[in-house]
Amino acid sequence: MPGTIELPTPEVDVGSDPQKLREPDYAVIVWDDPVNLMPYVTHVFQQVFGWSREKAQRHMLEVHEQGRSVVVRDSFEKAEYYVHALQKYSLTATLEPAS
Amino acid sequence: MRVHERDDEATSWFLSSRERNLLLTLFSRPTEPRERARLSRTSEALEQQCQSDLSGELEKHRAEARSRLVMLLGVAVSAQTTIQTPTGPREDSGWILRLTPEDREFLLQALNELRLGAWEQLGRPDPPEVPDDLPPTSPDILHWWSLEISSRFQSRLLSEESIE
Repeated sequence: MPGTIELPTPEVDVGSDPQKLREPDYAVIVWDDPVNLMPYVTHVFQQVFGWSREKAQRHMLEVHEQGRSVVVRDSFEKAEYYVHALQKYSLTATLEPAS
Repeated sequence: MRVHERDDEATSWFLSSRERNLLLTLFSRPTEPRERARLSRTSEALEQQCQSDLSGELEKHRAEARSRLVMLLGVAVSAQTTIQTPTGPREDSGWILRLTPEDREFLLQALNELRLGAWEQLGRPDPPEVPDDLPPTSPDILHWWSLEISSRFQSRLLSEESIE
């Protein structure tokens, strides 16, 4: 159509996406240790995340057999909240930037 | 320690006098200093940013849990109950400890705190089992005792929950 200007498609800069900047992706990792009882770890996962017993046991076994389990990926604030909650139960939990 | 009765709000546990005294002793003793909990293993920036908040919050929470449990044990009411033994029913005297679900979580956390504090003082043994050749005069006896007693109470609480 004459007189119509075709606008360029804007390039999306994912790196400066405000949503991404506000909510970077963090992983909550629970690490294995020889002292926490397996039923206790399962119980803590159920309490903190509201998981079913089956899901909680799956993650507990992953911690036990593989040395660690990523239990949550979320914004910094939420991930930090979960780390604090897990550490109140004396689990070895840390917050890592998700790669 | 066994379930006495349950209602919509709480579970009442029957404790023998010995069990109540053990719990009071455990939670009234000064706690072992715990190793600092890390917030991150890979990011020093994250660790620096949040460490002071985390340490302070954990310490406050642990103190609150212990004092709450001492209070709950203090208001436990004395009771008589009948237990079945191989030789027939027997009257047993003890205490009723009423725990809401929130109280139970405080108790589990506080017991685990004691276990881990003792384990750290013992040098993080793996597996955390009492050595067969532990001399009765060992300075580690108290730590092993705390670890074992706390584990037993913790297992009791968790096993009852799993059959609810």
